[in-house]
Amino acid sequence: MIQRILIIDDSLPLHQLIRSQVEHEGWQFHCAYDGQAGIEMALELRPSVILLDVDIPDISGFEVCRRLKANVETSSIPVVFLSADLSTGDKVRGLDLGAVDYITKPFKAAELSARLRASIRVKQLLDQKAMIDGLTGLWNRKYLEDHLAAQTSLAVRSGRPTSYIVADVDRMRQINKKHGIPFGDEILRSLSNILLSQCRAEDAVCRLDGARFAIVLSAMNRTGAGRLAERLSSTIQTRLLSRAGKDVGVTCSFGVADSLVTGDVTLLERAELAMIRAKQNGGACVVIARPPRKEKSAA
Amino acid sequence: MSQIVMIVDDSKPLHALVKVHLGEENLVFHSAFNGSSALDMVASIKPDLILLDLDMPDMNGFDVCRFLKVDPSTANIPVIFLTASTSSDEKACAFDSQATDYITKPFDSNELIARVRVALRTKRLLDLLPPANCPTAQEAGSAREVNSRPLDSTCLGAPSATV
Repeated sequence: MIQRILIIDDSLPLHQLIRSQVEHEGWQFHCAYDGQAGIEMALELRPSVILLDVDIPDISGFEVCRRLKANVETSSIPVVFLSADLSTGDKVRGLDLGAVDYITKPFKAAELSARLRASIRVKQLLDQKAMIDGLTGLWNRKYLEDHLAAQTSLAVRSGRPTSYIVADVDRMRQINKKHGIPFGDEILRSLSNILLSQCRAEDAVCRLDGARFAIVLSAMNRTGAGRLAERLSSTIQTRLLSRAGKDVGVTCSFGVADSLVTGDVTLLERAELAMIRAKQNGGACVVIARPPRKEKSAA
Repeated sequence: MSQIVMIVDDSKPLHALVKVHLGEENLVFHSAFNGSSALDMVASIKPDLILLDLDMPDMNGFDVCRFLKVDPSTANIPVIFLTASTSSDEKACAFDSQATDYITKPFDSNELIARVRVALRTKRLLDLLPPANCPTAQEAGSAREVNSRPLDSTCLGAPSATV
């Protein structure tokens, strides 16, 4: 993924200097020459890092930082101050406003690169953690939506299908009612581990909500995904027959779809519809979404 | 709640100085005087921040930092180098070993406080977010076993249908 760096500074030569000094990093640079334009570009671009001068013509760098941190849309973007002012007071003020670093001019290219890399690393870590489900540690719905869009696009370009499995735990409400929600949560965690253990490293296993899970499988058609779903179903029934001395007999309903079928209904919706059909069939089974039958043309 | 800061430096006066400067920050301090004892202590102390010297008698700070960052249980602990070296190459090397920040001695107490606050702010944020799934040892073992096999071509019991 290409990292976008937004430089907010009124000096054109400084923009050019930074670009030339760290161009080997392969980052994409965007330039704003005053504070207002910088804030607007930050909202539009969502850069990986903002390099912000303290002394800019319209709004001071400190005020720009304060506004960026006050806006939920931009608050998580790391801000690195870049200033000729060596005074400790300004450094402290900038860092206390929420900046992650403060670099003084003149700067060495190696240090600038290294400090920007450190800021990008923290941003990536926070972004990744924000896409993790709190109960199971699997990816969450936000990640799934981003990942599925990328995978579907890749499938079109590469000609290799992406498959999607939706699994919903049968009778989860009764399990929670009978054994309590903490026990139900433990079941969901165990089930998560089973899903992870049966999938490949490149597959994305996610918890959608409640007792619903999803798996995105790259370079696999619905037949292969159906086999995997059947194996998951069998493993879940075997391993979650009982838990902590309680007979729970956990089963799941599975819906499977792949990107080879196109039309008005999305991959996600087709897998969901197949999963609902599996529920209607009594649960504990796998239903694969097939292409719609073609209408016979009128003679 | 107090956050824990571990100071790793072979100079005892430096420990005292840092504690004085950060004295009003509601922090708990632990001291290690060389790299290997720091690595021994870190698992039990679980610090929220490590202030790490570069030049120490047994292991240098870069190696200590790299050890911390390859271990998943300590990888998220921010490390700030606190060193007399002002060389740009060493600064770059410190960040490449995944340090969070680099402060040169002699340092200004207010800047030290501000940079420590930034690192602790990020750590607090990371702690608020859920950890990624780590399957239990048993499940992980079976994962390796199963993933090394190709997918079975036969149906394994559950009835399947198509729509």
